[in-house]
Amino acid sequence: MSDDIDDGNDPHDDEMEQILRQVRPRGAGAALRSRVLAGVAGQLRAPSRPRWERVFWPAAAAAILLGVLLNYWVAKRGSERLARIMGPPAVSKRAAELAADIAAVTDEATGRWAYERLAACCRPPNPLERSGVHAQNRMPE
Amino acid sequence: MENLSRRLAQGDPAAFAALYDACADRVHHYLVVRLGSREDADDVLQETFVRLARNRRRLAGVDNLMAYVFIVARNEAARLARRSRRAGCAGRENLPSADVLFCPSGGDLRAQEAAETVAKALARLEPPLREVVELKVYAGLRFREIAEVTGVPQGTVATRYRAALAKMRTWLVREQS
Repeated sequence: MSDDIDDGNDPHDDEMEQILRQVRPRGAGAALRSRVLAGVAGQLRAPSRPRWERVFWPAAAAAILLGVLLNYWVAKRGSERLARIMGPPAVSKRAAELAADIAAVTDEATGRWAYERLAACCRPPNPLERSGVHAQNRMPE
Repeated sequence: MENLSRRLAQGDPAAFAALYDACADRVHHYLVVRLGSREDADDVLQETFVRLARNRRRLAGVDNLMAYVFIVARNEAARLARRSRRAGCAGRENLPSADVLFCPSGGDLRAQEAAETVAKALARLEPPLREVVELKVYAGLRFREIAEVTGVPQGTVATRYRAALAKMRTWLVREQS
């Protein structure tokens, strides 16, 4: 659409425009001119940095923080998912050997008791145990 | 104008003075109509030019400097209005009186009467219509430039302008009768 079309030719509108144009707007004033140009001069003297440079470091810090938080969240979710699929982590070999030693010098019941206590201490709480699914941790023969 | 853009982008103070002389009066009047206060218009005009100086590198690629200054001034006015709302100050909805808006008539009764009539007619318009009239009649922008400044389609600008004139004409006829 061209301005020629837009500017319209309604004679009444022209009359109204003439009335509007009869009055002259008040200007900004001489005092304001010096005030504004002083502000501009101050700004021109100030070291000018491009906008990308002003936002770079805050944006980089925010991105790193976001990355760390995201990494923590993904690792946590991954561990939870693996625990759901694979069951609780195996009891360490040292705990099993220690329980076997205890069984050798005492009896099998004490050895099993020691093994269960050590296993309970070593492994993290299993979410499946709460739902009634128990992993089978067998004492080595 | 292209040369002025280049000088502005290089940070030439004389170029900023030239830009001020070319458009400050028109922008100031637009701001007075929009904000309803000469003091606020003074502050916003100053902030507009300081912002132009701060982001002067962008001015090298500006095709229409006049429209660009109005865009920056409009954004600054909106920012001031938001700050005032957050601070709990109610914005001035009413248009200032004729003697604030227009040049003193110097005792000429007819000129004074015309100024009062125009101020009253403008005050009857909704802000979007008033803004278009202000930018067209007093800022001297074309519809294409007004569309650029206000961010509405050019056809809408033309429609608003005609609607504003019709509304003012109706009011004027009623007043005269």
